[in-house]
Amino acid sequence: MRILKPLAALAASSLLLTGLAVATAGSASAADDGPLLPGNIYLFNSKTVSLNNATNANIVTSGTNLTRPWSTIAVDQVCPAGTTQNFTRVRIPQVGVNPISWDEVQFNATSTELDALGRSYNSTNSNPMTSAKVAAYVLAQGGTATLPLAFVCADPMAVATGYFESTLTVVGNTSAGTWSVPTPPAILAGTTVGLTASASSVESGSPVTLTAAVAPAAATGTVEFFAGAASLGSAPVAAGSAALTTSTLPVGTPSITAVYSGDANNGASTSAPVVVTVTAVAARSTTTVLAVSAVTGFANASITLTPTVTASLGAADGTVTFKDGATTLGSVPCVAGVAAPLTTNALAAGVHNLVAEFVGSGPYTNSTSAVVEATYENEGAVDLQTVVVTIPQGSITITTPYTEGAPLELSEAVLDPTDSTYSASAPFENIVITDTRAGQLGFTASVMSGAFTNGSGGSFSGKHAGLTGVAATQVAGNALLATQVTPTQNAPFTVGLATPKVFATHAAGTTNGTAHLAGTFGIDQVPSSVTTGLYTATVTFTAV
Amino acid sequence: MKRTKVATVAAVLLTGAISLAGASSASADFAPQARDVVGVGSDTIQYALNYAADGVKVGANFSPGYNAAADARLVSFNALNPSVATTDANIHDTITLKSGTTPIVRPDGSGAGKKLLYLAGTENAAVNFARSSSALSAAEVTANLKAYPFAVDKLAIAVAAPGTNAPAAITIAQLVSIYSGATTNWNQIGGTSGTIVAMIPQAGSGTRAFFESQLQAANGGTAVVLSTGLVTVQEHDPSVFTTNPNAVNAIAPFSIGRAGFANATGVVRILNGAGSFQASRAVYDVVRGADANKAYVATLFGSDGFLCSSSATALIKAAGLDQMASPIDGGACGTQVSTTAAVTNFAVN
Repeated sequence: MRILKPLAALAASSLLLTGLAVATAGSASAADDGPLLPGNIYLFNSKTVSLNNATNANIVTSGTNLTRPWSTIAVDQVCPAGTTQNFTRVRIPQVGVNPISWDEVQFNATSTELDALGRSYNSTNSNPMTSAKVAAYVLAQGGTATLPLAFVCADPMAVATGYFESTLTVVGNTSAGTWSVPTPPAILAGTTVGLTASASSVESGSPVTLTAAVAPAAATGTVEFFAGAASLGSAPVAAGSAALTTSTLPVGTPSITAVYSGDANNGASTSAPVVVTVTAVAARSTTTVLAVSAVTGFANASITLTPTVTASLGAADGTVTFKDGATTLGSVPCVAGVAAPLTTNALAAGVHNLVAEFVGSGPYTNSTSAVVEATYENEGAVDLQTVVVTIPQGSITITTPYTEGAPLELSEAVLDPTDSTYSASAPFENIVITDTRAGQLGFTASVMSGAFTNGSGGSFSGKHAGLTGVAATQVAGNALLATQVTPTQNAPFTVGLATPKVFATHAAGTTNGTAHLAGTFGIDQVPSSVTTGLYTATVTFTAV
Repeated sequence: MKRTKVATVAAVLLTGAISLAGASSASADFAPQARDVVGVGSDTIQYALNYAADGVKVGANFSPGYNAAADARLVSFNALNPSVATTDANIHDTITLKSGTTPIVRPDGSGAGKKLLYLAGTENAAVNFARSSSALSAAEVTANLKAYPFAVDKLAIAVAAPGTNAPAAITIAQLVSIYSGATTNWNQIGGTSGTIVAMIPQAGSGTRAFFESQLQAANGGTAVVLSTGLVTVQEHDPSVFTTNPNAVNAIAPFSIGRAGFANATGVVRILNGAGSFQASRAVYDVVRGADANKAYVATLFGSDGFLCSSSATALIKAAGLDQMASPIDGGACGTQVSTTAAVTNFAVN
């Protein structure tokens, strides 16, 4: 201010002094906007979007002076604590003036808008670039100018808590002009990851499938799964899902998370943790079997001992030790149920008790095979001869002394007065059966009687005949024992000999020889209607 | 903060006689500077300019005004001394428009404010703009004044809120009859018996000028000869009802926006029965034609200026007016008017 006034006017000057001492007005400046904050400014073409739901298609980076440049202005970081409102200012550069003192134009109304993540935005009308101070500045620069654009965060008293900055380039100061801002980073859509495990509790080593559900459906890329801080591996995202099957979860209660790393359009996100309880593996019993290639033979031959270890669950791991009594022959590892055989030529002549002992690791318990006894002998001279012998087939015969010329004569038939029937009998001697057949086949002897006829029409059937009291007597010097012969009694009429009836058996597998049998042959219950006469019948004896 | 060279001034003061005889009731706490943009005039729109300049608390947050981001500040003097009651003797105090200028009596109303822009003997170079709630008069047009509309006010009739003998609605035709003195008792137009007390703003008030033009239009285009029994009062001032013992019979033209202020609640209410008089009017900031091309006119009053920008929407609304829509949205905000024709495009934001 120029002090060229006459003295009389000093009175007013005193007021000036007083006023100046207290006045704090001055140009608005960058210093009034608080600290510069890291972050990006976004201009959107719609009043209904914020960074939460805007897509890259909503971003505007240029336009004409004819229309309001943006419908919504937003920043991608949260304003400092204490911020309740925001507004946008464009700074007018002044040559030779410290930038913190540059003039500013407020470019929209104050707004309290916050998106779902607490980031400030402002959807009030923005000034066109023909705003007076901006247009005047652009004109003074010859038609093109770049001005700082500040998104200011402020407290309830409109005192700035901080600001975000971009640059505005304006070409032309009339409605025909254009403006542009630098392109901000592409918007990454928010994503979510949901994690599920195929089981909430598993035994260590058992597979668990971890499935990550990634939203929205357009997200692509990979999901990495972690147990605590350790990576379990990654899986690609397909149709909103990524799955990994792992058997390597550590024993305990590992906290599993799935991390989606994002793609060009979608941001990264991490799932809530899922705890899987992993228990130590329960003991598994085993069975060991030892096979020895030869349990007889010559001493110090090459003998192979083959172990087989079977686990109740899974495949056994451990060590198999081969022993000959108390002597250890050797050890082999058993991996996943597979143990190599041991070949040895250290088995001298004598008896050996060979055994395989399995000592298990992890859940596999120990087991020992059954002892395999082997006997080896010293090797001597050998001469081979051939001897042949023929065993005859042999035969079986049965003889009785009675012939047609010398028949067995039964006594005169006696009439029983109680039932008016005739009966007669006589001892039957010397039934001789000789069996010389090879093979100890055993025999069955049977008897059958034909009908008794008198030659003049009188007859009665062999049913009235019977052979009873059959017994075998030992023939001296005979290996076939009478005690080995089993007689069967066939009573006349009640059993009868009309059809062949077994009367003696000699079991198979007993010694061959001659058997001597005798019994009583009789007739009974012959009706008295039978005419008198000498009746004759033919009795057939069979031995098989 | 920019600092002017204060030290030199202090040195000069110490050696010179200091007389505070010229000290006025202007606030000793603040004085506009030569580069500041100073305005006076209309009562109706004074709050709009105050809030536009210095901001206002809207809800829980303070919304900054033009001066928060400006180099040269916008300064608007109220129509009446804001430090005293309306009945105080110092209600029309003297103010120092800019540092180093001779203090003047505070202009009260649109007419008084605009006179400082052109009227020989009254014109004051320290005044940069005048607030006007009516269109330019013929004399003002001849003086090459330019008017920049920025908001819309709705004028209606207010009655005493505690109780009134006026009917529920008064039409413009009935107002013509009342203000010409033809109708003198409320029972003549359906109210309760009582001698009508018709209030009107002082001569030179833009509100009065607008009101009279409405009466004239309703009177077949013929100017209404006003009754001599009218009571002249400060416009939009609720206290004129509380200080009048006959308030139950009183009516006054009143801005609907101003009737919503806290100080009017329970004191006055707007008559809004069917058919009630209600008229919209544009309100303006007026500058000299010679100043129209200066930077501050475009920066503050033009279509691309502060008063028409979204930064000022809430501030103007808090003052009881509706900001006009900008030409970019089909409105008339900031479009220079050089004739007596009032702006009738009332599109607002």
